[in-house]
Amino acid sequence: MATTTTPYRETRPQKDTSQPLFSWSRLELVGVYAFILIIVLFDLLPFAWLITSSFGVKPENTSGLFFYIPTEWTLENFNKAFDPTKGNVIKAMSNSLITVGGAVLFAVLVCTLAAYTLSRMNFRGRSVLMYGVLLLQVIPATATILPLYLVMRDLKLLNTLQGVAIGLATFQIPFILWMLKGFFDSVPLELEESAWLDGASRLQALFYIVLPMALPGLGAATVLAFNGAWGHFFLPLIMLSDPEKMLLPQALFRSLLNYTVIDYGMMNAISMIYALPSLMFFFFARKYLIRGAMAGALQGQ
Amino acid sequence: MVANRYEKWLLYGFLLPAFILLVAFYIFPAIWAIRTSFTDLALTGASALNPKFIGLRQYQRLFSDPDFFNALGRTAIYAFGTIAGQFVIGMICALLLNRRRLFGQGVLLAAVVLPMVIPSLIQALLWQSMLANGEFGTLNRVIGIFGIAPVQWVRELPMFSVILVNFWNNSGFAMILFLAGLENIPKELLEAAQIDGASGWQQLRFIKLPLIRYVILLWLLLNTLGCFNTFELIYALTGGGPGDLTTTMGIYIYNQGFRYFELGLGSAAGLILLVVSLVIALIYVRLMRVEV
Repeated sequence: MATTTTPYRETRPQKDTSQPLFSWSRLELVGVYAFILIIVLFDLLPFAWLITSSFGVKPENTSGLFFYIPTEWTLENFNKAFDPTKGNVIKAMSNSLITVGGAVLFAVLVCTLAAYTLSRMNFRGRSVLMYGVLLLQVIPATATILPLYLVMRDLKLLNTLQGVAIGLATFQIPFILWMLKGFFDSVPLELEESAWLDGASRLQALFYIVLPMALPGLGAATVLAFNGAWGHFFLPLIMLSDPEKMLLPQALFRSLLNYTVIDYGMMNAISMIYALPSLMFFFFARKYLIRGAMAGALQGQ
Repeated sequence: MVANRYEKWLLYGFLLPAFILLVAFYIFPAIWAIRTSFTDLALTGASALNPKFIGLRQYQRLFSDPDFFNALGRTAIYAFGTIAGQFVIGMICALLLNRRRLFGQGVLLAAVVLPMVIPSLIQALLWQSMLANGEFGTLNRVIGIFGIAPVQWVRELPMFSVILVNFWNNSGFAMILFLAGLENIPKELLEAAQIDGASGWQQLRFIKLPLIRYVILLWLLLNTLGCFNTFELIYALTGGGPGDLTTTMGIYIYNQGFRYFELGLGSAAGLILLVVSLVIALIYVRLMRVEV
């Protein structure tokens, strides 16, 4: 399996080795490893199918729906995925990249402005605003999706990529706003104040002092928001009906519904293309993802 | 803080774009749902152009619709099932990762977290292969090794199948939260307990679980709300079927809106879901505060 080649050591949480009183008995160890083996297999087997059936030649006379170990490897499925007469994913892919990329950049931009004010201005109602944004997460998207559809219709945004982008951007705002405010809070105010004393305006100080220092945070927020918006399927599903405008998840879902005999090899090649940003995100940012989520969990207390 | 009048207004202006978006596409639809739920608004036909105010009629229809209560009940079963399974899987993984060095910890952590970051549509597609019928399904082939006859997962055990997929894609979240709590427990406490001769189970029951109860409550809250919100995974995996056996609230609302074009009825159902979510969130917040 592909995942066994990555260096796992770096993700290992700091272990406490000072527990001399505890040791595993042999029986316990057997149980522990049986559990780990089962969970790891349970978690990775579906991905194993994704990899072997997209890169492998499927055995004769089977649908290729179950996991198999191919004897030959090929890129044929990816050729089919890009072929305009078969998978035709290029259009959907560029739609997705433009829409999700635009949505995330837009969301990060408006959140940068708002988070800066929320971090630096001490006005009445600031904490109400911040907690209000947090509370929004309680509203289930499924509960408001029908009125959201009506709002989009009345704004003439149905069946437009701009409309989907605005919606996706809005969904990411609460998360990005909280994250960026934290990063701005960690940039010392004294740095900014000394810039003001040197005659810089507030905006100049923001652009030349604060933003460069918060750049790692901006990058992290962008990547996380991109992964969130990239996986969103509900909003494009209800908003876009024109095949020319469909995003990658819709194209994938339609290819599943439209054919009576499904070409699982090609479908998994498309899945692979669609999952690629998430997989890359996982392999490169896993450590930060897990650390960040753990820090967030403790703050939540 | 130093700021002249012009800069002050500029900074307040910075708040506007983000909050206008939130109001227009997040808060306003939630409020608009109230209005829509009192009308007979539909997507097609006469009432699409001229929705009439019909008072509480949609709510009456909803409360006399067995499908609605079925969907509500299935959502509850889904939430309970996923909570039970995720708790066990997530807690055992977190305890193992929190222990002293153990070969394979990194692999376990990575494997449990990986399904979480994948788009839900891919999750559903991967599990169509796992759960496929007869010998075509990977899961059936796996249990076949142990001599168990193939199961028609989605047809015979529809709700269990969906919950199983949730164990797969969401246990990582439980594990991360629990691990964060466990790593935060002062080492002295556990050492003292060990010296007093507490067994592993006693340490878990009387020290670890009570100390991470806030993290557990937080996870319960987020997971319950997440279950109410589930749409994409179930829609792509089973479409709410077979029949309506996996139709949870998300699917029910979607069907009312975009299959039967009953926006008024769907909005009413959505509002009830919203109220239930708020009540549950309040209960959890209350529990967290009372116990402090």
